[in-house]
Amino acid sequence: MALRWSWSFGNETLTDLATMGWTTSNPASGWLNLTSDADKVYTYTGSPTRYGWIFDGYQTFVGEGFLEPPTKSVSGMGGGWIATPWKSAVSTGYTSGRTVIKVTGASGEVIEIRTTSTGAMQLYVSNTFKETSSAADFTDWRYVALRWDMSGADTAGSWSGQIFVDGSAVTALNTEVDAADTAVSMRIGPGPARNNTPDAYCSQIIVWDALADAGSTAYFATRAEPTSDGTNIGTWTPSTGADDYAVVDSPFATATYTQDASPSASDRCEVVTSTIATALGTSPGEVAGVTAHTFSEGETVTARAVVSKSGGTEANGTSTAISAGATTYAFATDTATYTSSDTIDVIYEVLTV
Amino acid sequence: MALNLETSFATVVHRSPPRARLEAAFAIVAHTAPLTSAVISNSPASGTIGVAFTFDGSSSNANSFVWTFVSVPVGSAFTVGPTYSILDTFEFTPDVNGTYDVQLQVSGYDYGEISSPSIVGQLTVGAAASASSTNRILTGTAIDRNNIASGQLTLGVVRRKLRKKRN
Repeated sequence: MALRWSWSFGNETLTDLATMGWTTSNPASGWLNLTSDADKVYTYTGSPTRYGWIFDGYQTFVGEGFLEPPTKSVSGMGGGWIATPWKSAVSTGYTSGRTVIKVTGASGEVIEIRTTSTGAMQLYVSNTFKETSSAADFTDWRYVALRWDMSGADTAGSWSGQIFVDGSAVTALNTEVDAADTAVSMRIGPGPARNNTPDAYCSQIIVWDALADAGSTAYFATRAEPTSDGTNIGTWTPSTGADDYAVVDSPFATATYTQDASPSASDRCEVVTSTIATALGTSPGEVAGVTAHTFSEGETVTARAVVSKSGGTEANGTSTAISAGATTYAFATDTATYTSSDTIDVIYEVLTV
Repeated sequence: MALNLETSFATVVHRSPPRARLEAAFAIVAHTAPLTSAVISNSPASGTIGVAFTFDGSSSNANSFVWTFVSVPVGSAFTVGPTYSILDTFEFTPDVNGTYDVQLQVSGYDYGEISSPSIVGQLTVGAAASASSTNRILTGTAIDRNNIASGQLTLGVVRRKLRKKRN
């Protein structure tokens, strides 16, 4: 198994994220602030402009700040990894008991990493506190990964969890007796932030779908924007201009789109990125995979996201019923071996009408 | 007898016409960090006492630079150890004949920012045998991510000699 889902925040507001299928605790509260400050986003030399969120640990009458990706990012998984790099403006004094990473099963029980005031983290498995890690200095980026299982794959009849920081285990693999379950959602934040002080930063999330994956290894998640049109099937008409890619690239906006006014099954809209080296601004050492994200609205259709390396073998996402008048999210992940010279074809395919 | 038809219409029970509207589509690539490298070139091609000489590390794939001497000729006012420049170039004026070995230590992005201790590339350049010689480039080798995690990595070392003109 391998990379399941990856996300890098863009220049999109909390309201945009809500439209895009995310759940946020309170978009109007000010507990989250979008940033592109290079000191506050997890980045590398040559990166295109990156965005992330500055978290506030807690605000009275508002509560703990958090972000939950679209549920399909983890739904149905029995176990795997969730990894998010974190950084804070301070080295200690974090608000204790706040979520760093949490995954929730259908039973409502969770496997979770929570903060302490010192930078140590606490592991909860099946809602049960298991172990406190050694302290980490979050004034530098710390790549925090949660290895989790609620399927019994680690230990039959039990859930398990383990915390890794910068590639190394900082807790033992802990178990708690519980019935096998699958995930329904995940949450990040506010991580190592303080109450009423927006000072913890997070700008990407990576999900791996198997315990054997290299989930603790630091990877960047970088957006690759479409820069040209591919080969369409059906008649797709951009809301403005002549190019599909120009109306569907980032940032997300419902006001710009390309539309198939009379879709048929198998109609496709295909947009293509520049080479990975150009899109990323560098030649990466390794590409673990590519996740294509599509956001659409429609009427009486089902569709899916599809992604392929340089127009080759396609990786299909799951069939999704597209909502009328509301944005519907779909994704597809390809774990083929991409190189710096490859382009990425992001395809939106109508399945049924 | 008149017959007035005032209103006449039919009601059709139907669904909305199908429509597919793609609002956004992009890809996200999960990838490792770019490789950090240290690159040195020099200008002019050889040194002369009293004439400014520049080592240029601007072609490095890095975001911080530390230049030091690792050896200097006997009698030089320069010393081994101190940082002489944190720019991507290092200019100095040779003050005695002999070989000047400099080291460029670079740092790349490690988990998003310069780490401490940082990723390190070391390059030692000495005096050339002739005025036409050019300096070689040292490029970082593949990074062991576990070493990145600890914040310590030493890239390869290249040593070249540049013989100074005799006065």
